Amino acid sequence: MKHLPLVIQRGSAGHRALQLLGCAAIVALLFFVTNVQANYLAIRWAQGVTLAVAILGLNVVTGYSGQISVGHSAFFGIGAYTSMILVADYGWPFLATLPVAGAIGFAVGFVLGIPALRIRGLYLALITLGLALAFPAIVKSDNFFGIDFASLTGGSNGLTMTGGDVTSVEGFRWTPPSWAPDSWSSNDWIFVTVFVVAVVLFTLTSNLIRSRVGRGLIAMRDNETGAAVSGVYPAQYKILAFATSAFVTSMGGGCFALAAATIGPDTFGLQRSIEFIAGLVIGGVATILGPAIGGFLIEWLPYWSFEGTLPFLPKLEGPEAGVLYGVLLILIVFFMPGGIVYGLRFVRSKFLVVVPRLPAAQSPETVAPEVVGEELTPASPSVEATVLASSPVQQPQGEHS
Amino acid sequence: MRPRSNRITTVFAVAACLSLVAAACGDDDDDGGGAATTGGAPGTTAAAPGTTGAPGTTAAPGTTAAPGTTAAPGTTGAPGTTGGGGEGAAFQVPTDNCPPEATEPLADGEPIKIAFIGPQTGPLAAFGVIGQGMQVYFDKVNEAGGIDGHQLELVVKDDAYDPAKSGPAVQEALEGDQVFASVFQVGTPNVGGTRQLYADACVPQALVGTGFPAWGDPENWPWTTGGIPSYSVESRVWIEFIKEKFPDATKIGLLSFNNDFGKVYQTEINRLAPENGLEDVADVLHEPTSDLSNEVTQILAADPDVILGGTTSTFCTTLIQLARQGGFDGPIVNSYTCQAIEQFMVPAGDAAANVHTLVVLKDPADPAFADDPGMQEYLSDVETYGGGEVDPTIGNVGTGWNASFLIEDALTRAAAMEGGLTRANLMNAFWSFDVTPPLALGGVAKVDGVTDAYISEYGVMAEFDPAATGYKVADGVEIDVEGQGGLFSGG
Repeated sequence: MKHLPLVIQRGSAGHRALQLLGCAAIVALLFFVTNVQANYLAIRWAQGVTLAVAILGLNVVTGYSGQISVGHSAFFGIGAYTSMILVADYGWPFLATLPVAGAIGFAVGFVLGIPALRIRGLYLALITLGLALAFPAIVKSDNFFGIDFASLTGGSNGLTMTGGDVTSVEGFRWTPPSWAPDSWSSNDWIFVTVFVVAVVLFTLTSNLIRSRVGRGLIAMRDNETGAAVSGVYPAQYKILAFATSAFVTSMGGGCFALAAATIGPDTFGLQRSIEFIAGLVIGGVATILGPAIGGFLIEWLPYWSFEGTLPFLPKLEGPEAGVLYGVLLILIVFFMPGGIVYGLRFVRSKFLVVVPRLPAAQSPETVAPEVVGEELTPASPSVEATVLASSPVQQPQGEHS
Repeated sequence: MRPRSNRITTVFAVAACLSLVAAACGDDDDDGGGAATTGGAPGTTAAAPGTTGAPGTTAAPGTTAAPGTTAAPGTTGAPGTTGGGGEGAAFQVPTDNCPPEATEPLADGEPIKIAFIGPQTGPLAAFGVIGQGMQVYFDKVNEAGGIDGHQLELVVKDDAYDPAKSGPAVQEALEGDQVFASVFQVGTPNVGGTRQLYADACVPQALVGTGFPAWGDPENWPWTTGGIPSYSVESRVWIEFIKEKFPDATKIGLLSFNNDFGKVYQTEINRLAPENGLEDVADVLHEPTSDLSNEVTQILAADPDVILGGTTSTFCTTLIQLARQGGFDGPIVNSYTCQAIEQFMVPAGDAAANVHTLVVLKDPADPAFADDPGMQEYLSDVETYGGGEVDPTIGNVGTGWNASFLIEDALTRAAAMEGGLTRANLMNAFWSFDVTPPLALGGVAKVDGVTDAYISEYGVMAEFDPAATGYKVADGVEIDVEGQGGLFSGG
């Protein structure tokens, strides 16, 4: 079309309108799950949200700071067990457990970030792999270097929010408050709770990435030596990335405890870590929206595969449904190699381009006084250059919106 | 041919009785389900009326049908016939806090939706075919007109054996599919973590496919019943069996699944072995992601006389293969959860010689049961209703088919109760079995929820014969502790 793509400058009224549209989409999703979706599906949505938060944490360390972690299932589990134990055994209000879950995750992440100072790449992956493998075994152990973890975690039985281990009687309930709409069930309230926590964490992480620290992380990822000579202290940033990442993922774990109601050690095994990585890659590495999409898909794709509700695809029975899931993952990666977010951006770029606000001397206004709605032509070289520079095809690792 | 050891039957009966008394007294912490962990004080609820089978008595006359044969005349419930009710009053599920629909009869023409929730994917997906057996049986019942004018409809949900996925799956079955009952749910944490959902909705969570002792607790959890023998009783059977069959054995090596299920075996074996002159020289746990090579090597390094496999599914097969490859030719005793011949024994080939298992059901792959009426009915059903896609030789298909016989029995009796076919009546029917399912090796599936909360209390410890692809049931040791289960009161 003649007038496409539209070019919108960041911070302009058009951009603000786009952002408002994003907020409206968030509210619409909230409304959809609590009012349109069946009550029992709200729990799956809630679990998907918690997985998205966990992947967001992984994104901080893997996507933005370039350190591979296969051990985030352990941070997820630390958060889940912390919240579960504090609620079920000590009667804490659920929301009060989340900062504790995050703080413990932060501390563990801080310690485990130390090896990352000297080890990188596949070797770091191996260390984190050990963490993923060890976590379920430690949780089950009744004598781990003299510590009886099993008595705290319910051992191999696991724990339930309804109070203590799985054989105990009813206890905790997460019921909607009096101000909530009457139509909200307990499931809806669980979803709303974890959704709000997730929105806060996504916003904070987005701000972090846009801050000086975030730019430092990205610089270190892209060129560690270059970043160091530019004033980024790698050791500090690497540990900070690990600890922050663990903090976010542990918060996600705490929310997961609420959404799942029952957890066991093997809920947080290696497969969970692989799911996180798959979700990150499918959604879009080093993007804020990518983990949200990834969390949604790793929760729902296996379910849809098993239920046979995917359009144009056959229903396969039992274990064969896993084949369908696998094929879908391959197709997504094949057709959108940078992840779904980059695929969407590519499509969007055909219709709409958002350009950064430039310094006054090079402002698009000086080149094209009214850029919004204008056709992108060679007559506006600075804008075109900016668009190309921000294209995901050009810099897939540099994007962070 | 009758098994040779009545004395052992007696010992086992006593052991099992004491075990369940202890289970009733013990708490249900994570050390193995509270089964006999604290010793039993006299006067607990498990000392059930009617279990006057005081220590030392044998099982009631007429209740121990010879393995592989039908029950003797005069027993309650000939194989394959519906019975139910029992002689005394059975447990009545309380409905005061239930939603009204729990006590309202199913509307005319409405299908009876039965959920099967278990691993369809993941490392334990082998249990998923239980649903196939259920579907075959349901199709047969439906073709015959259904039950009380209602067609049976199977609803299958996958939780991949992950307790965190069981909650959404159960909620979906309860609220989305509006199931009338859930049957044979697999996995102890999975069942335990979802019990409250069933209790809140007043929907039966019946005949669960796990042997955790806590499922026999009608007072606290009236909407949940067990469907297979208790692992703690099985552990005792193993020890007595070793003493009887391998008196020279002094060292045992134990491999247990590192979860609640395996921990029951581990706890019981470690407690019982020293009391019986056996030394547990290797006590090894394995993770669900393990290939068992390290674990089996560790066991073999301890040079045991007997290896016990407190694990399940294909891990049993792997244990057999790795132990034999490592030069161990002694006896291996495996959990009865992997008694299925075609799935777990045949893949081990000749290595499966000298492997012993508590056999509870007639296995479709065992030629010894080819002429058995129950087996013939099963094979005929699979051929007729399986659509050519169901493999009748898979033992777990038979398990699902056999469980469906119990479902039909309970539904039929519930429909005849006052108030008609309601969920509450169905739950009462699940608490009052007195019947012999067609594929049961023997004994009577009996439960009343008042004196006995455990339905499956019969089996034969038998050796597998790779050449005949069957268990030597006739030479095995019969276990019949029917009616001595009592109740679990661990909370």
